[in-house]
Amino acid sequence: MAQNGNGGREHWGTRIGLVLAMAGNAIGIGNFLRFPGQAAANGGGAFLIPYFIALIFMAIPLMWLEWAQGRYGGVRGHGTTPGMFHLMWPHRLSKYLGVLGIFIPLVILIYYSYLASWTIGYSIYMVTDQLPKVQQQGITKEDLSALARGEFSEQLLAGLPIQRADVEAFIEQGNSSPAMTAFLEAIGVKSEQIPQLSREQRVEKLEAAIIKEKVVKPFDEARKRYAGGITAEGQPAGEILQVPTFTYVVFLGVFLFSLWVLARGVSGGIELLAKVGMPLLFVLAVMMVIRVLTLGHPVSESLGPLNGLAFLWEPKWYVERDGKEVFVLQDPKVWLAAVGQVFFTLSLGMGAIQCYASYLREKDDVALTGLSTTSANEFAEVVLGGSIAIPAAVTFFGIGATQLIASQGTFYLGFASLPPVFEFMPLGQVLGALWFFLLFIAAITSVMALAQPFVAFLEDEYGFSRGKAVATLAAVWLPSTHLCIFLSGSLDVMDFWAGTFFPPLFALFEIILLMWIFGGEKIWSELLQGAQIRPWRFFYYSAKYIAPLILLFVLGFWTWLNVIEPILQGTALQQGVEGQGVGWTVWVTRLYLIALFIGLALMVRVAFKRKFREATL
Amino acid sequence: MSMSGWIFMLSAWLFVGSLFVYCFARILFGGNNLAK
Repeated sequence: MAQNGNGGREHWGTRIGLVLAMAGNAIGIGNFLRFPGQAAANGGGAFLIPYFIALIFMAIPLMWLEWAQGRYGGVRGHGTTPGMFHLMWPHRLSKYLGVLGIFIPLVILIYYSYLASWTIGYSIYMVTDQLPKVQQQGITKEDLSALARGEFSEQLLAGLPIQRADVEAFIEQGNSSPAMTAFLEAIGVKSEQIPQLSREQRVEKLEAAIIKEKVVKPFDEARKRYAGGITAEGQPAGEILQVPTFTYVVFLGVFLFSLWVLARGVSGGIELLAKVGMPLLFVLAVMMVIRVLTLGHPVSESLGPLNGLAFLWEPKWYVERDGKEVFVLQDPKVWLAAVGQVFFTLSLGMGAIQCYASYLREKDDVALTGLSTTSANEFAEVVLGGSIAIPAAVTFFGIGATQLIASQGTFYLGFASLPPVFEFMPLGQVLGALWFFLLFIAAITSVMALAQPFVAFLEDEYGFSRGKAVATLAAVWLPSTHLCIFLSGSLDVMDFWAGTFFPPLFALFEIILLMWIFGGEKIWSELLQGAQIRPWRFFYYSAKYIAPLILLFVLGFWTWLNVIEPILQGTALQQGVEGQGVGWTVWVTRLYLIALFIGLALMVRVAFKRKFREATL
Repeated sequence: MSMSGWIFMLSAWLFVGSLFVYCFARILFGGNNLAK
């Protein structure tokens, strides 16, 4: 274990190990599933304009500030933001603002580790052939080919609430029977929109609805069974989820593996995992990209991976909002999606970057190293992430169905829609297992980065040994994740607060503290210390003036969408701020999060009092 | 894919790809401390 003589803090063993560990922090499931879904739903290629503006004007400067702050704090014995904030702004409030830098990664760890266990669980499912089969529904590749030609075979219509007569009347004359209207409403087509659809659009909507109902639904139900949302008999589980033993055991395995890596330390555990895992992740991702891009036209001459890339990358300058066409760059929701994606993908505003950077030495470079991890993340997201899930789905299911799938969210795309795609590929079982293993590597390296701040806090501020700190983390982590495992909506409530709301707020605190209170010139000098590239001065001004404005826009518009608009529409009491209703499971989770925050704040208070007492003795 | 689709996709790939190659070449093959 590499240690210095200053407080016994560890250091990274090698620079490439640090870059890979930090890239592992940033690269997660979202790179491969969230980004393509967001891009597809928000203008395709046109989405890249707000995306890259947010990256250059906000994310890169903020990332550099977090790296510089982390090294500054680490050199002075603080690996987490309460201590760092206090060093930079010796006000009694500052350390409490810094509590967010432990709270956010800890809460994300609580639910994200459970999601990480799903990926390895699904990889095992693929190897052991536990998932449903499309062909068990009597559907073959020929049926998909017929569907791509606009023909609806008996096998595709069997068991659906619509009859062939409904289909013919709908396609040829545009007459929608009550059964057809209800069938289409289930995929979000409003009844008043139906008469305005062209023949081509009618075929596309019907194809999408049939793919969803006949091909993807069994896999979506398998996913819900895996997570305990529905029972083995197919009944809704209610507020207490009926989690299968396999799901639970796999989570325990991931939990114990994570503890083992964490207990081995920064260089001996986390760095080693990154050195093995990240190259493997890139190799697997490149293999998947090559496989997808060489699929050819297995279902129809008009459908191939290139159509998938076109679907993702062709700029769509107008998006539909509430039945109206809106220019994509004038739509605040597109900007919010782009800024949110950039934030989420680079793990900004969480306290995790500062913690990893705190294990640098005083003269170690942060400018080039930070930019390298950003570039690795962007490469994994824009080049690799955009070239797997969406092109594969389009090749087998067509544009309309893929559009519908992408709009249903990250886990629907990855866990419900891709397994049937693998079924139609040669060596699909192996490819499916590798795909979920790839997602597992992406997730487990992020789990380490999320766990480390709490461990570092206990080591630095309480003087705990590594083993004692990891054991304390385990004592908080394991019971907390049980809320996500067993309480309906709990995971989404945690994700809403720790994954969506608090990071931009915390980032705003950071920028104000670093650029305006501590001093922009001081933190910029800190960034340039030991730097192997000299960041343009433009980024300094961007960090000081533009990034806070972008963050204010995000927080303001987010508050409008999630709080003010639901209150004005009178829906706030039914759906709750988090969109998960206001049932007791939501309240238990909310109260738990409040208690956790207060608990951490008290720990910070006690630690600082102890240190102050020791210093004055 | 239309011309604009190709332009958007290849520009994005070129931007992040060249940044990735540049950074990792500098990390792996050295370079001196430039800050003075």
